[in-house]
Amino acid sequence: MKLNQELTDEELIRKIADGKAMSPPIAQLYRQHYGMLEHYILKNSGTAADAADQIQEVMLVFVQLVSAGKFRGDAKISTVLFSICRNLWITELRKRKSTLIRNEKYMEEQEHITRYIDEQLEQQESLRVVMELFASLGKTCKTILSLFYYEELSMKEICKKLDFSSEQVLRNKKYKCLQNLTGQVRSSPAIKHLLLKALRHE
Amino acid sequence: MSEYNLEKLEAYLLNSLPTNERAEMEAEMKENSELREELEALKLTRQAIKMDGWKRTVSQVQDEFLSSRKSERASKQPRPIGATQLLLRIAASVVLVLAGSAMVVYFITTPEALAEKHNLTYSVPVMRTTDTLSSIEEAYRNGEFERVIALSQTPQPDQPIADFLGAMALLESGKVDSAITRMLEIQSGNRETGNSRFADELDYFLVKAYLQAQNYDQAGSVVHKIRADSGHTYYRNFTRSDLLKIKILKLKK
Repeated sequence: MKLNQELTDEELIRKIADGKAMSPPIAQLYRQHYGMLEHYILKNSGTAADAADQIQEVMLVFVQLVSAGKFRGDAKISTVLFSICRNLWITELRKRKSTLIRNEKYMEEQEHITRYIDEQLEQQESLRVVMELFASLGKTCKTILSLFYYEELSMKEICKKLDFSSEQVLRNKKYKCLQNLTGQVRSSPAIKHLLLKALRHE
Repeated sequence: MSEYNLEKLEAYLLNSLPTNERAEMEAEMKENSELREELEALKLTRQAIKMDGWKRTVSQVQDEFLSSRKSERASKQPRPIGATQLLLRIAASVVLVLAGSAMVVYFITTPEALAEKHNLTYSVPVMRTTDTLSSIEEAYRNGEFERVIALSQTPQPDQPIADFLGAMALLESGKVDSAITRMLEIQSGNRETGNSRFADELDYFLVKAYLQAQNYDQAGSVVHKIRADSGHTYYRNFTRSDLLKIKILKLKK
């Protein structure tokens, strides 16, 4: 039995892909890699607050890559996290009008970033828009959809947890919530191009 | 809107549609761009809902991590010292220095060192107006202490000086106990007669005799008496430090 022992890269990826009890593996990622990522941001015109924001985003992208099965351990976790971090930070610097010449240099010198990271980061923008639409839903809708798609609870469990009179009532409610959200997604000009692009790639 | 409802589209995404329905849907998707778009929007929506949950988890883990890192760093940094703490530290340092000094004094205080400091010898005063000395004074001056002792035991013209010189001769001869007895007798006699001749000298040489006899209680008591009287001839010969040293010798005994 392992006590107070850090997981290997493989074990970490397996735990994150499993999607249950995400906190311990993510906490290990923070313990092992936060310093390295923070150092990179601080050395490249960023502040500690910038680093905190960026690293949160890095972890989120990494979790998505693993969860979507796009990263299965074909590189070291530290390499992937660093690539995501550098890519995100360069994009952020580019957005900031105060970008210095040396930041442009980073962009020119940046190493080849794995294609799946590029794709994921591109999709990230659209996901962020959908998340904003999700955040604008009513509380009940958000709770039902989150419990179902994130917590992966069964309809029976959600029915009990949220005190619905029957599973059918809950099912109808969930359907309406999802329909409302996907409707907003489809009509959002901000993500229309991504949907079309995704369809073209199919 | 396509004829497919969301549940069916979800079943397709989860690969749980019956084979024939799946094939039917895929056939339609080739022709129907709206259906493809709807399916893509659903995929994106499902991902975004999951991402919202992950974001909450990541955010919570990050808060905990940064908070614990801050605590660790704070605990490693030396805390600023408050005024009270500073005073306590100074007091502790002073106590330490005093304790160290006390230890040094304790170890360097010996009966020999104290006796060395209080090693006065009584000298017979020479009066320019006096041409002759009594025989006992002459003997004392010449260091003939045994003769002085013998003469002091016989009647002398100036009995008080004969008694005193006798006591001094006993002390100089190393007969400390007899010297003490003799000096105490003289003091007792003086008290009865109200005579104060040699009173201060007797105090001083009693201290010397008591120190030699290692009778530190009595030595301390007489030193206290001398120090209590600023007009005493030997007032300046004894300090508080001497009293402390006598106490240390008593402890060491």
